[in-house]
Amino acid sequence: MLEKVYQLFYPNSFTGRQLPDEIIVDIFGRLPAECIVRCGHACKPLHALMRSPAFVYKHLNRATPVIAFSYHWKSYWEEVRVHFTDDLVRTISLKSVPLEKYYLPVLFCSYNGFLLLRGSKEVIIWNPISEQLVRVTLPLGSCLCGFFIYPQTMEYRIIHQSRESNYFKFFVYGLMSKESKKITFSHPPTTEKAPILLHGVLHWMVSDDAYQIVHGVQPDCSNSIVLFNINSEDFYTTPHPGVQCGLKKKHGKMELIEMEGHLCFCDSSSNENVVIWILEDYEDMIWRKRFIVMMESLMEFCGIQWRYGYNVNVGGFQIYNKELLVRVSKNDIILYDLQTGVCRRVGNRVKNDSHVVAVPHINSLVLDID
Amino acid sequence: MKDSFNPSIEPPKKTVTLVSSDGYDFEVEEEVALESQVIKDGFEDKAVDDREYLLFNVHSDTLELIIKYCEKHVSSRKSISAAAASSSSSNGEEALKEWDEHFISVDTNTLYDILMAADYLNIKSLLDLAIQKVADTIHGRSPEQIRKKFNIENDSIIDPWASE
Repeated sequence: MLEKVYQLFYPNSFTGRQLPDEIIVDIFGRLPAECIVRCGHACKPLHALMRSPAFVYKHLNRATPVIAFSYHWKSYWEEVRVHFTDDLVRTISLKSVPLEKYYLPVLFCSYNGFLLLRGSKEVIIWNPISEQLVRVTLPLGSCLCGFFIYPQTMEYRIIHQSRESNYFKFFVYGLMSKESKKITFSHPPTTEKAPILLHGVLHWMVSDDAYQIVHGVQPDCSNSIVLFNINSEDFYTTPHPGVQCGLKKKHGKMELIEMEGHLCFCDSSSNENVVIWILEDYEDMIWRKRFIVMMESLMEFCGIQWRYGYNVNVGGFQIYNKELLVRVSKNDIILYDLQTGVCRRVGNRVKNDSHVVAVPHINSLVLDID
Repeated sequence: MKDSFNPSIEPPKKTVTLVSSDGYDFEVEEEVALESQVIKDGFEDKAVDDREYLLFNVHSDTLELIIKYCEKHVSSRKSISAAAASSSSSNGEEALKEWDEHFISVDTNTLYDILMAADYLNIKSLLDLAIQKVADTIHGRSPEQIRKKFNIENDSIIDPWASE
């Protein structure tokens, strides 16, 4: 491979021809990040190229996304293994730090070429290709809920939240400035799933349980989607589409996803089907029902008998190349083609007591978090 | 079959002449030559009887391939849009992709010649095809192949209970 890389940079010995620079850049922009890093160690011009921010972002924008997934066991285990659908297996070894027993960091999201893992007291931000790793310790009782780049300064920031007696306290922490800004709000976003970042706004479902602990009642459907504007640093809420929940709220079985640049809403609360709504008009909040996925077909593919009225454990919805990525029961991930209804399994089904988290991810050359 | 091609009513094809770096003349149909953005850009300003292009950077061997590529793409586009107009199903795009794949499966030197010529003549789809081919050759696998594979190898998922 290296020999072929060299040929690109140096003129052909017979003809003396040399490829134009922009073509060389284009060729490398199409190679997997891993491949570039491997060759970059031995090829000086390539090493210089992979360090240039312009190239790094060009590569990030055109690279083929993969699925990153990780099986988590409840037992004590000293490392976290993350699998990628392009056959890579990466291990984050955590031997050097004392970890709380029974609580290993869990894959939370992928953002800008980084993977975020959430531990009980810390956040791990990791580029599996460059192996750059940053750990941020969170204050006791605080929980990660979001990660984004602040556009004005291009600074990476995390949001974490904690409960107070009658409100929720949020901290926006800048990884470069190392400063935290405190914001308070009445409605807690879920910490189970990373927010959807669209139009400079983070979007989460509300957490029914956390809201109830603080306010004594469950949150109304009219405030069931929590939003945070990353520029103005304001929180606000909006209703979810479809039928409003009854007295017992079911916001835990509703998730937000992103599809083709639109915010989408997945409702699996009926246990019969997953209804996917798309927010067609962001300004006027116009939602339209786009897909209905029968629960029975997902269950059948996974070898689970579906019965009317029974609770169904599906979740972890994501969109990967126009297909729906779904976790069925705790440890099976499948891709469901929304057009044809064909299911495919991702990874291998593990029989034991583990649970799996899967996120679409782009392996990148991005460096310098802080 | 009113959409089918009828040669008897077709006006005589306008042609242009492309001259390779080693001095060979290639007479091609106008629309085939216009696949090149460079030729297209100055085309309207040139007199009709003076449509001759000297391509100093393109050898006749390469030019022959480039013309073959452009002719195929022009004719495929026509048949795809004809099929779409008569709403008959066609796998034209799929077939063209296959043809492209076969076309670009050449040795490294020829690939470089095509790459340089596509860049010089600014034929975007061909340049894209050639660049992707070089990237695939370096890596050994195309992103498409990676994307299609979802089941990772058995032994890479380690079960901590397996040894018990």
